[in-house]
Amino acid sequence: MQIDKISARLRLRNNWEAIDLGFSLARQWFLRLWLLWLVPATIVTALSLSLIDSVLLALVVAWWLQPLYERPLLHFLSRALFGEYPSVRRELRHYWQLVKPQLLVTILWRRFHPGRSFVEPVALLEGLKGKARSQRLSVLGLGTSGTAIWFGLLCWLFGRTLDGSQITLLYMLLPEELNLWFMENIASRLLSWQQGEDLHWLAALVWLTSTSLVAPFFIAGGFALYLSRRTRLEGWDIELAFRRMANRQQKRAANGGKAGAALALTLCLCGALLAPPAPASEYSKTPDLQADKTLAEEIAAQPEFGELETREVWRPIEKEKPKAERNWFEKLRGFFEWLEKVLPALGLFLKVVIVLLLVALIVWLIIRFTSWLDWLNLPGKGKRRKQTPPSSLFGLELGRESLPDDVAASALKLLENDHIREAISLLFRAALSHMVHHSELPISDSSTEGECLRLAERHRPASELGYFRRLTDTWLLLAYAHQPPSAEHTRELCQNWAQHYRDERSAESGSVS
Amino acid sequence: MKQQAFEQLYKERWEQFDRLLDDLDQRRPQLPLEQRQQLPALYRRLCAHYALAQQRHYSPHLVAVLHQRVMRGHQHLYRSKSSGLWRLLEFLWVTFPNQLRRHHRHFWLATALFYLPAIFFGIACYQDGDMIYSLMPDGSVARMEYMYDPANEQVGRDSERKADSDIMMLGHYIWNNVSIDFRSFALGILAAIGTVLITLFNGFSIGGVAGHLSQLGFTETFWPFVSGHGPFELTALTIATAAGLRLGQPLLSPGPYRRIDALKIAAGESIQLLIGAAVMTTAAAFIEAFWSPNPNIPIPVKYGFSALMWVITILYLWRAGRGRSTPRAARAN
Amino acid sequence: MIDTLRHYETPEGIELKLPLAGPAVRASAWLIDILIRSAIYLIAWWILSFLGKVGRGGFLLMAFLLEWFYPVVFEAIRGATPGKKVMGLLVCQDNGTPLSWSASLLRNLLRVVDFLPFFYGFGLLSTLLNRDFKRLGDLAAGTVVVYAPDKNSEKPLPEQKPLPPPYPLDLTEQQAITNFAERSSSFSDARARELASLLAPMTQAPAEKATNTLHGYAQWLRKGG
Repeated sequence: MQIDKISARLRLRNNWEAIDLGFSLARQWFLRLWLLWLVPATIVTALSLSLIDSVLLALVVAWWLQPLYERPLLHFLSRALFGEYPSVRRELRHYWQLVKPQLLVTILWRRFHPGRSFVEPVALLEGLKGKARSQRLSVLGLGTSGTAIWFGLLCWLFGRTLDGSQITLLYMLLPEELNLWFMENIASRLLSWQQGEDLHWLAALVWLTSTSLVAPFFIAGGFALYLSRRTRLEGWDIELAFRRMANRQQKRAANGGKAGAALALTLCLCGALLAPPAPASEYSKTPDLQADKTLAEEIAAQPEFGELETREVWRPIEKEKPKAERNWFEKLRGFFEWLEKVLPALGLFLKVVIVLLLVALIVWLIIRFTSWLDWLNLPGKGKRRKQTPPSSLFGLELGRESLPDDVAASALKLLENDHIREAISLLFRAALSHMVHHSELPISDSSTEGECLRLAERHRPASELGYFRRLTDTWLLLAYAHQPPSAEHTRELCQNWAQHYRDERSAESGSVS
Repeated sequence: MKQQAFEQLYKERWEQFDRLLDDLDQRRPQLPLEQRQQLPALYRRLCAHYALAQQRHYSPHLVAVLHQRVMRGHQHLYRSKSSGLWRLLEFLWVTFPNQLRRHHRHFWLATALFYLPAIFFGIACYQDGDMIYSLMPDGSVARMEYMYDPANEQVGRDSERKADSDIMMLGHYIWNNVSIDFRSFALGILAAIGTVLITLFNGFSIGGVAGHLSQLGFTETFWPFVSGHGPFELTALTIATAAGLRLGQPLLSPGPYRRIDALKIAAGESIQLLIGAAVMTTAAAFIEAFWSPNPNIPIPVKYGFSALMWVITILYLWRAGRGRSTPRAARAN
Repeated sequence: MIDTLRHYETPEGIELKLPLAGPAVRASAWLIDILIRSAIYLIAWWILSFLGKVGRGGFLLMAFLLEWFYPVVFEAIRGATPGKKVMGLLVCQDNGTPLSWSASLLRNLLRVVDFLPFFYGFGLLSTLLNRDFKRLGDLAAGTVVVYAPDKNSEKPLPEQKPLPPPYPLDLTEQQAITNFAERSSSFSDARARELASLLAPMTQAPAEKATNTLHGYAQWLRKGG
């Protein structure tokens, strides 16, 4: 066990916080834990159902053997916590070794200990038995065993809540005509636990689902409780902090930062060569073996050498075992018999799955094709509110008064004076101003050139649009890529400007004046 | 600076901060405004001290104590405002109607979801006396018929509740009707599907009952009874439905937000609609318990009262608080 | 690092730690609340039954208020229902501030959904899946359930002459040493010695004395350097 590789934060927690940490652990590794539980549980349930005639009895057996499915989870958690993640396959291969220790007592009387997820680590991880175990438990359980038991009961309740939820959901998913049938044939019989094979298959399915969902949390909660108890009793958090401090100091020493540490380093590196003179003379005076030995012992007793360390290692009591021959034919036959029994339940299961898939599909379709729902998102008065036109766009002044009366002529004049940039800018600015003030396009002051163009595409006639697109392209090249257009191109733009914009503008200015 | 000198230097300030927080905790009304306004400045100082203490490796205990002070200050400075009575009035007069008008699309959708099936099924039941049985079990129909049978001494009550007093019925109505509001709202979180279903069902059953009873000729008893509280109750139910739709909307169409953030925004807005609806429903329950079943009030007066209530409802939702900016409470959450 | 602490940084750059509470302890709190409410119902039923019909109406009214508003009011005013208080829990906003009225109302009304389909089935699944142990109501209202902070009382340190550490320590290191001194009485002697010996490069003391040296540091640290 390498405590510095731990993947959960150790600190003092109260019992409930410890359980919550367990829940976090379980969520972190949920899929693996869930599979680890589900695989043996499903196998055992199926086996007992195919071997025992009475279905009820078979289910009770499968329920009774719960500790068998829980133990690998505990082993996995104890490994995963210290940064080692055994694969599900490996755990299942060593299944028997994981399950074997103290198996009999575990499934006999310890089966009914509600807090068994807290008690189990002592047997499984510490390998304690008999009196040693009970002593250990009385130390560990001080002030904790009550919580552990209550926690076990709570987990049982959680499982039953999920049972009820599944049945109720099933009921809610059924069409209304079947409600009465469901009540009479399923719910009431489930409650009164009457005989009936089909029903017990349903019960097994429901029980397996909910218990497998809760089991990882139950085991991890108990394990975390155990962990927290040991942290409190043995100061694991302090050990971790002290190790870090020692590391830090070593680094400091390596950097030669502090005098004391530097001295230690020097002694360490070249102790023999640079040994202080006084001890050296002592050595030369007393070539005594006995004295050397005491000296060596003294040195060994110094703190640099005198580090005590107890390592604790958790290891499953593993023993290689020759694989027993198996009668494959018998197994196969059992499997087919089992299949025959399972099929009706499988059919029901598939039906539920199909219904669920259908519901999911419908929801997906609704989500996918409900862009019409966006009308709920629009602010109520959005459409009617008249936008005030922006006074400038990307740094271009758009006010009408800032423009000359005859835009095209002014631009031509600018062009003749070799001010191509100013000419294009004037044309573009005037075109935008026209769109904003005259055509009343909903351009906001944060719009970009591209957005203006897209708005124009939607609202302006094609002829004007073609011109505006050319103008915009020219402007973009000029303004951002510094590629001035040719004089002819500019002239052509100037001449055409009037076609698209001048008429309306002069008419309007006429009406104004 | 040594820790002791540091503590010595700022001790007084910390104690001042503690005293101020104690005063604020006890909500002393006479605490002068200037004193309250000291809180942010004191808090910022304290944060600086806390950071210094950490930086200078002062003792863990000092750091912990300062951390606790900072926590307390943070909780005071950033807590959402608590409400008083006038804030409730302001909520009812300004925030709620404004919020509803902001969501008028949801409201009209909810109205359509409720009234269309109600009218449709109501007419169907009025035409065909057996139609109601496709929706309700026989027992419920019989009980409902008995409740509004003109031969019944007290209208609107079935045999079990016949002799019970009005206060008893008030408790029952509040429980029942507000719970229906709450359910319509809360089921909205399932992508609004729950709200839509429950509203359609409500529409069908209420419309069906009205149509069926009219077809039986119980108009003299049924309509005067429901006319009084109907305006408030039905409108409130529609508003609760609108709130449920708003709550479910982010899942379907989150707009420019992540779904979870859209949900938080929607939740904050819809809960205000719901509170308003619950208040309206409670008011309706008083009318339903004391006014509606009173046999001494002539029927024309009841109809007149009903018309008045409709006018009040519409005017309230349409005009109340218009033009007043939504106070900060509306944006809380 | 897996932990149940959630960190929240305030605008002032101070880091708050919110110790989140999981489904197990919350279920216990809920059960306690159920017990309390049942007791109230029993007593109220007994008293109000003397009042006849008015009493029964009153009972219904009370039931309405108790069912819907018991958690709302307690959580908005005191931050926790009595059951949560017993379990040492507190409800707060995501940013660690006390619960507002509307958030309290929202998170508790949405219990209707968390309650579905069968005794908090959805709520349970949500708390198991969500990394902040939030149920649907918490998600919508932006609230979390946390462990109420306990009073920061100084625990006594073992008597020892204060001793300055050989070099300055940062806060976590100081905390580790103080923590060690505060808790050494709960360790076995051997374990305490083993822990202390880890810091041998710092204490420069033999194992038996290392514990006392560390206690000395702790005393010195508590007094403040």
